[in-house]
Amino acid sequence: MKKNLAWILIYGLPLPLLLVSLMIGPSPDLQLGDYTTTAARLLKGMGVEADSRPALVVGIIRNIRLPRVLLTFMIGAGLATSGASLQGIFRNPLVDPYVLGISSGAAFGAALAIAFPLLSINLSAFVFGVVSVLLAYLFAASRANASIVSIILSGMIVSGIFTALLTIVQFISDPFKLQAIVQWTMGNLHHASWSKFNQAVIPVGVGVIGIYILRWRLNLLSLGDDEAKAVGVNPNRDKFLLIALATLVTTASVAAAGIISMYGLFVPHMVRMLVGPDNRRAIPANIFFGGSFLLLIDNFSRSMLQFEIPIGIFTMLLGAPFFIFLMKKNKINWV
Amino acid sequence: MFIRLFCICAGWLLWSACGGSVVQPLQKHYTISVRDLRGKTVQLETPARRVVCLFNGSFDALYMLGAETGIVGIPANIYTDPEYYEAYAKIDERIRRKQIAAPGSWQASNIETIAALHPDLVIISAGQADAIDMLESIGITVYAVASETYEQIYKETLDIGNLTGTGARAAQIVNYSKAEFAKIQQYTNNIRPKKKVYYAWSGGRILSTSGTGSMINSFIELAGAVNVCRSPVDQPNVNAETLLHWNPDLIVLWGSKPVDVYAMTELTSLKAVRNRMVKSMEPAFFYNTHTLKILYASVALSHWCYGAYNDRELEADKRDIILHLYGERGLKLLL
Repeated sequence: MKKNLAWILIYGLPLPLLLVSLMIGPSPDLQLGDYTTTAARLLKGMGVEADSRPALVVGIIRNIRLPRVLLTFMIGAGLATSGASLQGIFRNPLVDPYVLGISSGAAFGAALAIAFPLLSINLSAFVFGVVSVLLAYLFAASRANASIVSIILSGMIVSGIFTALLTIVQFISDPFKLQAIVQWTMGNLHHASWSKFNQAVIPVGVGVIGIYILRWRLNLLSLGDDEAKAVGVNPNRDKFLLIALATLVTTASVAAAGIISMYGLFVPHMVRMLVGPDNRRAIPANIFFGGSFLLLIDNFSRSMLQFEIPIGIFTMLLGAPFFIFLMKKNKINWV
Repeated sequence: MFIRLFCICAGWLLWSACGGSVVQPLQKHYTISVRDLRGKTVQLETPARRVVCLFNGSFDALYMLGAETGIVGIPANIYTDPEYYEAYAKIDERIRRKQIAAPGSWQASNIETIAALHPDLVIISAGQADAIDMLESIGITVYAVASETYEQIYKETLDIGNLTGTGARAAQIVNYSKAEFAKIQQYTNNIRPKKKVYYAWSGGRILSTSGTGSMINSFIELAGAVNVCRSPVDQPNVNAETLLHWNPDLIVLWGSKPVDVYAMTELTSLKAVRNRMVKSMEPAFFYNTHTLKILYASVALSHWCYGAYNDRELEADKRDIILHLYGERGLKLLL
């Protein structure tokens, strides 16, 4: 793909897309004229009267679309960045942000909160997501050196344990709660609100900024421990730090929107095809492209039908063809 | 030597497995015969004295029929779900003490435990096809249920009445329900304009509703109102914006609190929110729409919509319905 086109796609798309997304929604009776009239009134400082049509437009944009658009962008950016950093740390193209058992841990936490409402669903998902990564790291670190393979294997085992626990909760749940659990695991953004955005913005923000700052170290870690040590980097400390940041981002994203599967796997590959494997360029590109692409998918998800199809379904249905297209046109850029 | 012995044993096991049972059943004289949801004829020589019931709606029907003394197995969630446990512990001392076995649920069953209970009859969800086959293959009589429409609820109540020797009582409560339904319909048919109702699922899932092909839709229509969700999907998720567009007169909640809706800033402009018309169907035991108690759910909704009488009269109606469905003892223990 031409360099300029890739640049436009990654850095030129987000702002117009964010603005256009605010005008897309399932309301059949909101026309373009409503937006322009309302914008004109607000720009003139006229304000809007309660119960008027402009008030409805303002309410919908401010309280429904804006938090959703921002949350979607943030989660897309978070999952893509977290996936890219973990693929770099583990030097494995098949790794995604859920490799350390976060999705299973968070799903179990959410299911537990749905079946036995002692904690809020978001908090419980967040706590168990973090616990799963800690367990995976603990199991792997019981040996003198936590090798990449042992961490990934521990993650798979922890994931298996939490999946089994999730199944127990599903088994004892009534049909109504089971439906809620299943829907949660599919990933949903239809309940996006300012409260969800506020809960997620700090952990996701801290994690993404942290990974951005450490992006050049990812390049060194990608070469292997010995090479990293040779240039004065402590690979174990950096790996731990980056995994902690990726965990923070992923767990907060999953707690806010459920499990959006495969997104953190294929978006970093797309970005690598567009900008190459250098993480100094790939990480910021993941932040912008990851956010924009999920927002684009969500625009379909929320405007196609009167009811909402879980975003997790759309990410694969729309993301997979685009991924295949890029794969045929470009090098995968994975050594 | 060992290899030969192994081959002989394996061959014998294979032959036994393929051959199946060749024992001829004795000629039985069936006095009770009903046809279940699968279209299969279910026959008993005498009314069932030991019943395993793994379907919540039918389990409730056994108490309405006065056949609870024969229950030897119950759905597991009667013990695990506090709302169910609290209600049934009031009317059955054995449940309060957790003395009845819980060999399964609406979605799965432990065949060995069920067999060990020596039931004359197992009432189970029609969705558990494999479990039904296995139970029937070991000679246990199975009656499959679903309770997805009024007609199914009536028929299943009458059939279970026949199978447990309480046919007269079954006919009594079904006739009572039909007569009461007719009365409500006569009253609500003439109401114009009909109120628009939005239904929200449990556990704070305010943006998950029920479409036209559901029992929820039936109970809303029976109450003389209109379900704002016209999608045929059973449990769709909707966008807050769609809900604003529907702008219902009343929001009905199952297992959630009105405060869950009032706290959502994106819904503050809804007519139902401004008029404080968000009602919760609690305690859920009295509003179970998959039982004959759908009658009370409809009466309550009709009252909330049209305010035909005051809260004290609604309470009197509730007592009357519970008296007819559970008898005097049930009324005394439940209310």
